[in-house]
Amino acid sequence: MRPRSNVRAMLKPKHVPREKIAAALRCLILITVFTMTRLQPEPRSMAFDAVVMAGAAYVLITTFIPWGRWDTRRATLGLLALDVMLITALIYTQSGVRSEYYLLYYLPILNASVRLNLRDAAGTCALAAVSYLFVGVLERPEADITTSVISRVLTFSTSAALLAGFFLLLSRERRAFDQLTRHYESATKAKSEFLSQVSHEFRTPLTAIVGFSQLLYEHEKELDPSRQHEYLTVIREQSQQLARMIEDMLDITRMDDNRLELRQGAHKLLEVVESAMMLLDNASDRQRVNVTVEAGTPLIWVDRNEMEQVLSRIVHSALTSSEDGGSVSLWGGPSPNEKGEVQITVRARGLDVEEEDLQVVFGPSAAVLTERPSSGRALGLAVARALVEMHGGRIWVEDTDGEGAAISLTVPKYVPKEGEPNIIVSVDGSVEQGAEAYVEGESDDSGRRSVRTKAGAGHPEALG
Amino acid sequence: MDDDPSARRLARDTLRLSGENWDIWEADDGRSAIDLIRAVRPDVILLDITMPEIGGIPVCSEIKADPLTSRAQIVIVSARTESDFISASIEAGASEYITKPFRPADLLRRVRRILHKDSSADEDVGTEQEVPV
Repeated sequence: MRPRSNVRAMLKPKHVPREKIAAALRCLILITVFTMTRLQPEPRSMAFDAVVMAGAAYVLITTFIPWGRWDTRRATLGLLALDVMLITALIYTQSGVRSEYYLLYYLPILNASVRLNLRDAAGTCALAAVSYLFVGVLERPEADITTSVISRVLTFSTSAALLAGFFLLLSRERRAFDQLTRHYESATKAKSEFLSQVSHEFRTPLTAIVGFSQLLYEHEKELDPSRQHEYLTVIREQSQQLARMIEDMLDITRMDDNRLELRQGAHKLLEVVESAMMLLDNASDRQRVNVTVEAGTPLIWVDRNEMEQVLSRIVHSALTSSEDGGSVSLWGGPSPNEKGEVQITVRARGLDVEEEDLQVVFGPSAAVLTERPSSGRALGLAVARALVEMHGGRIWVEDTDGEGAAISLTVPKYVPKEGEPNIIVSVDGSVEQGAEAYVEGESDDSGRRSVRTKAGAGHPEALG
Repeated sequence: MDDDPSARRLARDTLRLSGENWDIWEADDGRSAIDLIRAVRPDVILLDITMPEIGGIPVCSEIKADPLTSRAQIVIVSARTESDFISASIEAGASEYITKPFRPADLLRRVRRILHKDSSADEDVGTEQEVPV
């Protein structure tokens, strides 16, 4: 994807310069040493030549060895120490403590500061001070020399500290920026992986839609009506599937951007379930769902539209795992846990806790919503899970002793606020007796879904 | 081989409606596809890549590695469009790579081309693998 790589290239921190600066500083040391060799009156001392040779070899090695493979922090401090030793050796063998060559100590200190590493800068500075003092004491033990050496050490230590502090301030900004960049990069990567996975998923229903419609178009005369009908059925089912997936993806995108706001209100569970069943694509699917809502179920505190989506996705997923036409049961009632939530459980013989779609969404590794939805179905379940969690509920899947598996979720019940009259007006305008209102449905003997309201205190029967 | 029944059906009907008399077998997973291919020795094999357990590319390599079945021409039919998958398929010995969604006429054209290239093939035996599901 071209746009992404452009953005990346733009935001990528440039690591190269620091290494280049380090190399340049070393080269500067080398050049200085060689210049001084030239200026050295004959005869040259053996020790000086040795120092120059060692310095040259060292600069070449440290410049051209690939740094990345080492623990660069440790290696860097070692190399800086070598720099300091080299300069000390130069001063000792050649010019003596009185010369201005001590200024060369700034090079490694500057080098460490530029690397934005306080430890290295302080270490280098201390080492330089100690070795310079040592050379001074070794060379001329007189007091006046020692004093001038000490004052020089103090000067370069102070200025080096200021320098390091300055670079350190820079480094903070840099670190924050790096962190932001890393975060952005990983988010972009996750998103593009998600998109590529999703676009792959889109191709599955699209293959059937494109392929079968083409076959119908090209072979209309040869195909008998029943075959044509079969093709149309496939096309219809797959286009519904595609539409659902697009819807799911939009939902995920909205949740990612925090653009999804819940508009929670008090609703009757049965009404929500009824509307959710209407969202199923086929009437024949609806026939396969047995709905039971316990009498006395409190009103639930949910965003009705989103909760309908959640329930229809879960029921649809249970239905697709029972391709043989097996029925699916949906039970709703007060949750057995002490929090007073409402629980909804969808059971189907065809569901299997171990199946990949369920593992991806509910398994132990299903931490991130947008991670590898393995299918359109997993995508739908992932959206359902995220929505339930946004409501403050839980959703999980469990085995039901050889009877397939069950997907359960909890949603908050409506709790009237202090001082608020215990009467609420529902969306359709009917007045209800607050949390006391309840509805009930049950399945009849034929296994078909049948729902009726148990009109409690004479409130209107309003079914979705 | 494809784990999606509608994709298998599409490929099968496309080949049947072509008017040629091809024998077609189907498999819905990699293991049964390999067994089936060894049993029927097809001329052309259509493989999907993304499958639970054994995907199309390992199946392709295995078929090509076995002297009994290596003569078969392999067409990968996959929803994956990334170049990694395409090059991996070619390396594994696939002759063609078709991305989903495809036009049935394209599939047919490519299968015919492969069969004509392969002059030693029995003219009237085409294929795909598979165990009735």
